[in-house]
Amino acid sequence: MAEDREILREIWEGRLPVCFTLATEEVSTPIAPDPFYLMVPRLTYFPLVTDKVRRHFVRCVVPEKHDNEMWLEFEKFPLKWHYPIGLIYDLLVTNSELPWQITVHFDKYPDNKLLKCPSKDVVESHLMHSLKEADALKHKNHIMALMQERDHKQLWLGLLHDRFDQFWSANRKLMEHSAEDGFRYIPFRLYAPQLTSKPFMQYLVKSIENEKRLTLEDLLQRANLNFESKGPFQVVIHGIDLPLETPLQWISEHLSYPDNFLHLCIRYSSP
Amino acid sequence: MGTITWEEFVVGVRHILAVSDSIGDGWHFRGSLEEHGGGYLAKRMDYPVAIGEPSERTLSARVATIDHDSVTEPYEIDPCSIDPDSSFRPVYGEFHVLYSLAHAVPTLYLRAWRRDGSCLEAEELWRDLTAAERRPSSDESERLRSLTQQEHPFLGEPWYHLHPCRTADMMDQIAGNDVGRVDAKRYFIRWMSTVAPLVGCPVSHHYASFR
Repeated sequence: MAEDREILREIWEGRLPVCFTLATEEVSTPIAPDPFYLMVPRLTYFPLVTDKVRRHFVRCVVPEKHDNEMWLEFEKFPLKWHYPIGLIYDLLVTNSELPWQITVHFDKYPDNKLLKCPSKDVVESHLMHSLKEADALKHKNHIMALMQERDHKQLWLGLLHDRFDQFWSANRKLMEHSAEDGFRYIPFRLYAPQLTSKPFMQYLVKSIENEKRLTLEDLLQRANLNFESKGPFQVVIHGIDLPLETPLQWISEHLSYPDNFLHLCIRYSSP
Repeated sequence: MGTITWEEFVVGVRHILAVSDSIGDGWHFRGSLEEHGGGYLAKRMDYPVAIGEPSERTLSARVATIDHDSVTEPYEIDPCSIDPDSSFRPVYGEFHVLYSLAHAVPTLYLRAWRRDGSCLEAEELWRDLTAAERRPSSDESERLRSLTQQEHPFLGEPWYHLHPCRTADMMDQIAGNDVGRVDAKRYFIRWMSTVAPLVGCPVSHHYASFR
């Protein structure tokens, strides 16, 4: 059971300032629209917080595009809406310049790169899918299946409406474990684009092995990758540089995203 | 139980590869079998495009509604209709069998492309890929038919994916009265012959005859 509740709340309240600008080639009005500024929560997904952005810009594109799905881009990278916002930032933005400059598009949706997201239902479905996966890793008897539909809704609505208490009233059940054992396996994804062409690395890592609590260092060792080969690096989550000796059980209970996964980015100091 | 370990998945994979090689069925493995969850089975299927010919669907069929993606109206396909624009039809498709570490079951990913390089969407996949494999709709089939878009864990691009959550239950039911641990090869063949044809990937009876 997570005891450091202040940490949970601080992580929940993490925000990033974003400056949205409409792609210049898509502006069809005589005067380009003003950029749109917004503070976005790190823990949520873009489609859940960008309705206002859409309303602001959509009237400035040609009428035929008014019903198109909006998509976002940073320095030519289309942003994967199904990644939590904080993960996208940790992964793509290395210069730490704020506000985060994001370009808005309504044309030429890159559907060979981005999943479709026609409605918030798709985001909910995606969240539930991830929660089930995390739960299957953490617990032998799947808590998600035993939870009532009402609790599933608490998780979704808590995230959608930015309500910490509502979300955690259900999420604490997913953080339960027997005192000695910890989680069966830690739900995590490791992002290291400099080392692999795979979008992320995922493998089985226990919380405790041979009566020893495993640490972040242990997790990295099991990747079978030579992280040092590219120079000194950090493991970043929520913008925090995690000490390698931190126990995985603690990290999982306190720093997981709402989907109950740890999304860990390997960041190198020098390019 | 309904689940398998990575090692058992590998046994199944080796079997598929052996049979596929002998009958020229086109399955191959990408990645590493030595690494836990290190790779996947892949097969490409080409769809001959007949321009201006009557539709091959001799049975009138109804398209099932999709659970998660957009809901489509069930409609009847006129057996006498002529395909007005065959450039929308799939030219080739790929099927990938991955191992789900979290759910400890095999899982199927698929994608189909048209001549112009664009990809088919869920409703079109159901309609075009499964025409030849049409089976009467049953509750079982309906439940299995949850095709959603997912990021491919190796390729990082949007592929369609059959939910693994229900696979363990399904395999449990299929195993029925089998005593003890199910043979890995048998499990794999059962899974593949149940699931793959649902999305238009036929599984030859040769796979079932082993040893």
